[in-house]
Amino acid sequence: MTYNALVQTLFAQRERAGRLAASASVVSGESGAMAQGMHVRFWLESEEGRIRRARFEAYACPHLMAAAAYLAAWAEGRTPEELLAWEWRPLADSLQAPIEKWGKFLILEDALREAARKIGKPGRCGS
Amino acid sequence: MRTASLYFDYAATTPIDPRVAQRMCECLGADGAHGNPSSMSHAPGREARALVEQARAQVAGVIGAPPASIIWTSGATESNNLALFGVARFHRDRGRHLVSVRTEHKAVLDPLKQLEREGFAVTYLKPDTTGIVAPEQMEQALRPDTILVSLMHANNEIGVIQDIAAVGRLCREKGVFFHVDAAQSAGKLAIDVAAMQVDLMSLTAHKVYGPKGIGALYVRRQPPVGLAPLIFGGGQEQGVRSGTLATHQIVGMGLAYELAALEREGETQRIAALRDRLWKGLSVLGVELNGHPAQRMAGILNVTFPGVEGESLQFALRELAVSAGAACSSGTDEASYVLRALGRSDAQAQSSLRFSLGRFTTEAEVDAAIAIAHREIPALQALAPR
Repeated sequence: MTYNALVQTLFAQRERAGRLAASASVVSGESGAMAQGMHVRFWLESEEGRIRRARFEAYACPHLMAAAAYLAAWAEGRTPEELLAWEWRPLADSLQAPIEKWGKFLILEDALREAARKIGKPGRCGS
Repeated sequence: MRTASLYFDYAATTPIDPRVAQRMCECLGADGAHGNPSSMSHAPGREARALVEQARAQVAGVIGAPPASIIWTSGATESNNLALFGVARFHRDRGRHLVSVRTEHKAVLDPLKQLEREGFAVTYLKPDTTGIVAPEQMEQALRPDTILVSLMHANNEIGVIQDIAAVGRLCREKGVFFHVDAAQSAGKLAIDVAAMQVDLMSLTAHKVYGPKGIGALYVRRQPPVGLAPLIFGGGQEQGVRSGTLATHQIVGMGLAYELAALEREGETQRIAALRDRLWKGLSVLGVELNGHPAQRMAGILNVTFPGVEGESLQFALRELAVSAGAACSSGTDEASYVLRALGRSDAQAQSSLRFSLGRFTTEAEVDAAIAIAHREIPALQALAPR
């Protein structure tokens, strides 16, 4: 498997890797499972209707690791609505992900949307 | 992009020993052995023939066989094909059942699948969780119509060593031909085909610091094993394997085997010590050993890295030339069928790597590999959701 320069750069970027401490302003969303070969979780902290900080955890291939790192950075400063409207295909193309991995981008999308939907809802912390 | 510079893939292939390369170059030079070894009517042909026969004796000596029992081939894959198809087709009137193991190399499993398509029945034994096949399993699998058992000496992915002598004894008692794929073990383990009661043994040069593209099949001479040829032509190699003999390749294999035998004991101890050093360094990362902890080759260490996805594992350790599964099938994303046969899950099998060490591996290289693993693996493990 070969990886383009963007994948290599994002794979090495781990400043947004990890968790956010539980609080009333923090939500999480996850999708996949290790047994499926991919498991991803996003942590979002919101403030006045925008994402203040985003973090990710991932058990995934380099393309999806890179995609999760990209998405965590991209999410900061955006509204939950923008996150819900995110579409995976342009990112998959930029990363030159092979077609057999496209389904994994849907797992990524599911995790991001689950977290975005929880913003502003009661009982969301750490869920 | 950082590229692999630390070579830990000796089980896939070895670099050619400089002494072997020099001897081969001498064969290829202006004063080299350019005659056809089958042209016995002139001096260049006879000179080439003498070199071929010297190499035949060198290879035969490593496995305790008479030189005339060595048939030159293009490598272990061809040797396995010749052994399996050759025996099955020659003896098809005696029986149509063969026995092998799920963890064999594809160069054995794929010919067996083809034989199944040709009407033969094959029993594939499942090893225990360490990769060992008990001789009792083999005994239970034998049937009145069994004509051949094929069992690899040392597994290419996990390095586990099978009890060849016990299975050989059993096969001889039952009148069943016994083929051994010794691609990984010849020149590295003590082998005596007569004592082990082996009828056919596949050998290759490129796992023992010889050239690629040359191998051999040992075929017992007394009493003879009937073998149907796969390649027809000039009738070389007792009519079993036609084709002009590649003198320089054969000379390279001969010297490679002779050197391997001469240096085996010291080399095995040195490589085992390096392997143990590598294992000690990796084990603190929570890795799991695949294969039998003691009954295994000195140079092969197969480990699972729990909590690290397989492709990311390989990418993170791309400075190391290591294998995920066999080199011959690692171009696919499928989990190793060998590790799956040992009971590992798909995820565990995909999160496993084979480190294989050899003659030119140094302590500094092992320490560098440990340092790279310590830099990358904890970070990836910490990234996995819990």
